[in-house]
Parts: sequence; structure tokens; C-alpha cells
Amino acid sequence: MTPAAAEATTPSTARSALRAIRRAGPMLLSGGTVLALVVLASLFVPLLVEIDPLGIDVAQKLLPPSAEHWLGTDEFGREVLDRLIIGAHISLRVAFAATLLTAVLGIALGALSGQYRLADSIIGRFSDALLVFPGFVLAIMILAALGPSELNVVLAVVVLYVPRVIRTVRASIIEFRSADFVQAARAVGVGDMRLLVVHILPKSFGPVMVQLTFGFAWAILVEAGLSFLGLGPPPPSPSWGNMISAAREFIRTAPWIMIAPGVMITITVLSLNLIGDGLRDLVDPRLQGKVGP
Amino acid sequence: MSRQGVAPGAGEPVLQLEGVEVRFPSPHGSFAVVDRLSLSVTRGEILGVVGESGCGKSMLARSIVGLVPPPGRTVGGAILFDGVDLVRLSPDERRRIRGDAIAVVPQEPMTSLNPTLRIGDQLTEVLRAHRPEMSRSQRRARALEVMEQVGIQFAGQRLAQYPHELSGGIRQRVMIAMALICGAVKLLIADEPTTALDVTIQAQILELFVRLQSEEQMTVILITHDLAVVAQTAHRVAVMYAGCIVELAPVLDLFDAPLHPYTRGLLETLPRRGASASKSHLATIAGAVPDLARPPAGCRFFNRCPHALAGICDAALPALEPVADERWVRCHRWRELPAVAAAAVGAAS
Repeated sequence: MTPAAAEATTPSTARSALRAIRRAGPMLLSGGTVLALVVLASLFVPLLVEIDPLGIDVAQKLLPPSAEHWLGTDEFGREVLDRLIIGAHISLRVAFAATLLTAVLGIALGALSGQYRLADSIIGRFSDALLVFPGFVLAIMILAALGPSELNVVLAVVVLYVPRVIRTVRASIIEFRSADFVQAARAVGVGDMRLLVVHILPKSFGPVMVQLTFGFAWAILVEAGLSFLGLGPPPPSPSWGNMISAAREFIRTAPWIMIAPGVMITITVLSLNLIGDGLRDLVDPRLQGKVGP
Repeated sequence: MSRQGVAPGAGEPVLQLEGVEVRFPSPHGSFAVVDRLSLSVTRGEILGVVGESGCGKSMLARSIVGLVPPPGRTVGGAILFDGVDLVRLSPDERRRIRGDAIAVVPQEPMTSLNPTLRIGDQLTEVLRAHRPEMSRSQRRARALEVMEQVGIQFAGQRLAQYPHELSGGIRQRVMIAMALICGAVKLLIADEPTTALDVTIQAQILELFVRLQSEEQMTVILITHDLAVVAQTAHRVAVMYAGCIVELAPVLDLFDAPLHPYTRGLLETLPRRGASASKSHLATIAGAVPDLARPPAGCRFFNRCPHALAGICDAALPALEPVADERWVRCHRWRELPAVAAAAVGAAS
């Protein structure tokens, strides 16, 4: 923007934008900081310190947290902290891949069903059918059918979450395709494809971003839940979910093995939800204070 | 105003509507919002189309540009534009004409611009659609040129601004600039272009239309419910009622001697300065437009007409008949009415 144009922005617009940022700010800031810490730690600690999540040392098994073993050791004498850091990789990688795929598929299919009646009835029925099942039960069914693996967890999350994104995109397309400015652009000969991509689709990005943030948190939970049931990425490579799963037997004797990944899942999901809430307040201030999807 | 001197281009039609019918399905059967309408628009004229809400004037405009909102459809008739029947063209061929040879200025300047795109992007988008061979800088130069033509100051600065930074009058000028930017517009359809603006801005915008019409040698169809707008700008007026044209006349003739009772009613609803103090309230036309899903057999204005005669007016739909040079009216009793009306005025005073 040229300086002149920036100055021309009316004060009231600037003020209300400021208000929205101030309201959403604390949530975005705290959620973002925690999430950034988790991600950065899981990425950079292995580069700085020697990490050995798979090193078995039976002599050192089930040791409580101490100066030497910060978060204690598990039943094979492996460092819980090391496994936690590497476990973040799988959990975040699965969630990230699932969210990205959900975004691409959801926007494409949502755009199709918003534009074409036939596509709408086909895609719409499919997503309705998927939404009928309780999400987690469907995920278990998918993993049971395809077998436990990281890729299959991603697929399960995508199948579960894509209908919601489709609905969001479809709803905003239907809302905006009859908007005056779309009609006006059509009346001067702007083509359908450009109308969709330039005028209509961007209107759904706000709500979709919010939804994907919640989807990301949800993907971490699904991955953890599936791993807990033994349907996630198989051991010995650690994920937060399968760490909790393996720690079940020792909950009385060595609770730290379970508490550590549990706390990580909680704060990661919490920070993502804070980000989602903050984004939602920015995108649509009317929904302020309401619970996420 | 200069337009009275401008003779409409001697009968050469640029647009001919022949029996155009726009229908919408409904649970009670489909209804025609534009009912077998025929009309010829002469090159270089400003044709006013007036009528109250729901009379079909906007649908007529949308039918001409091929944008009747679904589930509505242009089901019959021919729309000949420079001899080509638009109804028979493919959707893409119609798109190529929209914004190029036929342009539309919409009703709502406040909402007709995308709030998230800069003015410049929206203006040049039209050129992207119709003049793909133009370069970025050529598009920008053309945008500046056309903005100047429609009287937008600081055009260069405006290009970088967003719609919310502009006033309603400027936004409507931007919409007009969008309509003109291709530089080949032959027919401009303005659908209530000043309804959302206050009266001083309205006068400026109407002046702009009149000026552009003579500068660009355009034909303009000006759709409005406001007779004052028509009086200020149009050469000829078509009065629509319930999907039909009920009267078609040169503007001065229409105002001097309206023939159809509906036209009279419309003119009487205009507030007049110096009207007698006893008439403290504004005149209205009682009743409402008939249900178009079951159109009456007779005259569509029958139920509201002060001069309706049972047995004649409700028996058959009157035809749009020529009554004088360039004057047409759709009324069974138009010959008797001046006398009847005069008698009524005499009785009242």
C-alpha cells in the first residue's frame, strides 16, 4: 500500500481492528508461544543434545525423575524426556499432514459442491454419511480395516475432518455467490472461474483457518487415542499416544511415564484451541466467547 | 437540458425485444415476471423504464444480459442486439458481450464492489476479461483515463484504495467507469443507478449519464421507479405494470398527457410544490399487483383502476396499441378517459 492510501484508512476502521486484535491478542499470543516452544523444542533439541529414544538400559529401568533422568525412565530404561521429544515428531507430523490434506481436499470439494448442484448432492450425501458416525468410532474402523500405520492415521483424520471443512467452504460460497459485488462482477463479464477464485473463495479462508486450527488439535488427540488402542504408528518409535499406551501397566509404580506425554498432549491441544479461539474472534467477533466446533 | 435537442437516431433500432418472456417456477405454477414483452430501443436514445417494485423492470434488464437469477429463466422470445439474437448465444458468448458491448450499472454502489479488493484491481478485472492482450500498464492507463472521464478526482490514488474508503457517489462513478472501461459499449443498462444516493449526488450522476450518452454515442436503458429521474434524463419512457408495458411515449408527451390510468396514478403520486394544503397526505395508488401465478384474464390493472368497467376491462387483456406518433397504450378505454378524468376533476372542484 502506498503511504497515502495507508493514511486514508479511516480512524474508526483502524480502531475496531485494534480492538479485535487486543481482544484476540492474549489468546493468540499465549497459544502461539506455547505451541512454538513445543515445535521448536522437538525440532532443535535433537540437534543440540544427544538424544536416544530407543536406547534400552535394563539396569536403569523405571527410575523416577531425578537430576540425571529429568523425566525418569520407562520399563526398558529408555529416557522418557528423549522419547517425549522424538514422540512430538510423529504426533505433530501426523497432525500437520492430516490438516494440510484436509485443507486441500476440503476447499476443493467445498468449492465444487458450492458451485455445481450435481456435485453438491453427491459430495453432500457422502459427507452427511461420514458425519453420522461418531468420529472416533469411524477412525477405529478405518484403522482396523487398513492396519495401524502413520499414513493410515493421517487418512482416518482426513476422512473424519474433511466434511466439516467442505461444509464451511460450501456455506460461504452459497452465501457470497449471490452477493451484490459478485453479481456486479458477473454483469461486466468476469468469468465463473475467476469469480470463484478471486471473489468468492477468499471469503471462506477466515472460517476455514479457524476450523483447521481446531482440526489440528483434534488430529493430535485422535493420533494419541488410536495409538493408545494400539492402532497408531507401531512401537518402538515413540509417539505421545503409544507412550501413554505402554505406560498403562506402570501407572501405580511409575506414573511419570504416563504423566509426561499426557501433559504434552494437553498443553499442545490447549494452545491450539487458544489459537483457534483467538483467530475466530478476529474473523467473526460476533462469536466471541462461544465454544469451538 | 441538452438532451431535448438530441433526436434519437432516426428509428434505427439497436435492441429489439420480441415477445420476451421470463418465468419463475413456484409451488402454484410458474409465473411470468416479464410477459411476452416487445420493445424496440433506438440507437442513441435514453429509454426510461418505470414501474413499481415487482413489475418486472429489473428482470427485463437481467434477461437482456442473460443473468436472470435461477430458478428463473428467459423461456421465450427473441432479444435482437445489432441483429444477433442474444437468447440463442452460448453462456460464454453472452459473457463476452457483457461488460463490453452491453454494460450494466448496478443499483447498489455500496455493496457492488468487493470490499477486499482495491478499486484498481476491480476496474482492470473487466479488461482482463475482455481485453486479455492488454498489458498491466495499458490496463492501468485505461483505468485512469476512464476514471477521469466519469469525473473521479485523484484517480491514481483511488486505484490503490479499497471501496470502504470511498463515498457512495464516488463508488457509483467507479461502477460507471467499470461499465465504460472497455470503450466499446453500445448499450448501457442502468438499474436504479441513483436509488441508493442522496438527491444532490443523484443529480450529478444523472448529469453524468446524459453527458456520457452523447459523448459515447451510447444507447441507455434507465430503469427506475422514480419519475423525476426519468423526467430529467430520458427521451422516451416505457411504463411497466405486472410484467407488461402499459404505456410507451416520448417523455414530454407522457408527462403532459398520460393516457394509461396507471401512468396517471404514478404521476399523481409525485409530491407537488404548492399543492393545496387540504391534501396534506401524499397520493397513493390503492391495492397491489395481481398474483402473477394466476394472472387475471382481463387488464392487469383492473383491480386498482379507478376507471375500470366490469364486462369490458376484466374480459380480455388489452393490446398495446399505437395511438399517435411514437405513442402506445395498453388500455380498453383510453379514448374515453380524458373526458372521464376531466369530468371527475370538474366534480371535485
